[in-house]
Amino acid sequence: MSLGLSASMSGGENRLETISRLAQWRVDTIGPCSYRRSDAFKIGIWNWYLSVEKGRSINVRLFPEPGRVAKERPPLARFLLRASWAGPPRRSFTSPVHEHLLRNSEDFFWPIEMSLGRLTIDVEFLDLKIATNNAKSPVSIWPNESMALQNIASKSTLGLLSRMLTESIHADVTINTTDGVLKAHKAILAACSPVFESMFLHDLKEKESSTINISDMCLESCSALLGFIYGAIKQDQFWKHRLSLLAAANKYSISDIKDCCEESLLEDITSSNVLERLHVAWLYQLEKLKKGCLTYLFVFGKIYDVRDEINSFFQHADRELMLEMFQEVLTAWKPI
Amino acid sequence: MTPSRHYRIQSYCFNGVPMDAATAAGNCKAVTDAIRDIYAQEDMGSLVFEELYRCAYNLVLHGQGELLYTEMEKAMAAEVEGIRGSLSAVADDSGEFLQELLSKWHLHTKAVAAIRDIVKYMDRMFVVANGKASVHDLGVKIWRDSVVCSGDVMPRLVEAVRRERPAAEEPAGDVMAGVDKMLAELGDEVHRGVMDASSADE
Repeated sequence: MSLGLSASMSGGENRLETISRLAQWRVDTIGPCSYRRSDAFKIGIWNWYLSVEKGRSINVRLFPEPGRVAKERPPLARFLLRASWAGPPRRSFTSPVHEHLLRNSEDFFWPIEMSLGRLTIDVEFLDLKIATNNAKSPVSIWPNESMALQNIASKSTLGLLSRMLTESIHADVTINTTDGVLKAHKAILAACSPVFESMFLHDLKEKESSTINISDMCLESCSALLGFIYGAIKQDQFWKHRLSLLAAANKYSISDIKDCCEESLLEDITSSNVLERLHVAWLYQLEKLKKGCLTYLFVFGKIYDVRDEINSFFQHADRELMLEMFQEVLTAWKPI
Repeated sequence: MTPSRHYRIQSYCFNGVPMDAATAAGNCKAVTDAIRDIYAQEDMGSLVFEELYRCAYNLVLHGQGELLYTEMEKAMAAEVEGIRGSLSAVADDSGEFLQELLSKWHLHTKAVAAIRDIVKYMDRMFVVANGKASVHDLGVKIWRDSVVCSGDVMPRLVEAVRRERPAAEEPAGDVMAGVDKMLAELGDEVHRGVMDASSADE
């Protein structure tokens, strides 16, 4: 949070300065009412107030500005307070770390046994969460530091990986597709697929030649596969090559890619592709996609839209698949 | 029905029809030939993993898992049978026999590891779905049944172990440690059988 100075409506008496997660309020005198409240200051999504009141001791209170934000999204704050007197003699008290749900001025106060004088009150927020009514644990409004670090690290790793691919940095394996050549890295391929891992393990040709002849993939599809593996694939490239990617993911046992393709193929089932999708789902054991296609055909009755095609489909379809389709029909058309 | 839609489905089903017998047999032969070469350890550098994996993968994907499994088992059994034959030619001198048995066992396990990787898709899909023995387990079983527990190897093994066995306090030599490890892999029954027989009084 940037340095902000709260505006003062009362000639600077209640002015308060904030920086980052710290607010500091200088109270010169408490005044005749035995009560003083700071100007509002914003930290997180809330406007806050500090107040001091003089009773038998001095009570310092911290509370959010009453209103919608505080009501609907009350802060769960972890904070500590410090009170110091310029003196002489200079003295200060530091509160223990408090963790409180702060809805209004009654929820928290910190008593200090001290005579009056020029007083400075610091409040430092260690964490601020939005309290929730449901069972979900409240989430900090500040990104978790380790998470943020993780994000930066993964981003930079992804950048490096895609550079390794696009610029062929220390590439040590050549992939011959049906219509072109690609360069990649044994270590990356082996780490993502057990098939590639074994390929370079035994004393077969690839270990020595460092060349893979993938004769069932074209250059574009294979580029998409490498793009996915190196984290550099674009959405439209994925969309265009998802069937080839699915076939390759199944062949090379790369379950992340397989799952992604299945999810994607589930999103655009139409009557012109449902039989093709059903076949693919059956071939690669994609239970969700298969269920989706069967539901589309039988529960939603789209089977009538593909009447002609279904005949040719049945001529070639596997017996097991047909059995499953039949079962689905029975379930869908069960008399009530 | 629009022609384009018809074409799409036709072409798709074409990919999905069970593999024709000739292609299936050809793919199988590629794998079994490779198994022979792997055991012979000749010219292994000319075997292309990607090609062999693809043959086996396509067989399983197109419903020919049973054929591949049977042919692979036959090929492995034939190779192991050959090894057993070669052991007959080894002199009865106990040290030499155990050493030869052990070196063939290592050749076998290395070959099985390579075969298992080539037919990995079969191991993952067909073997699991049909409750068959995995390639690794099959390798152990074939070795146990047709080498170690077969007619003439067992008595020679027991005799050799009896002679090579270290005295109670001595640590086992490399060969004996290797034999012990091999027997342990073959299962408790075989392991105990050999150890008991070789320590029994004549």
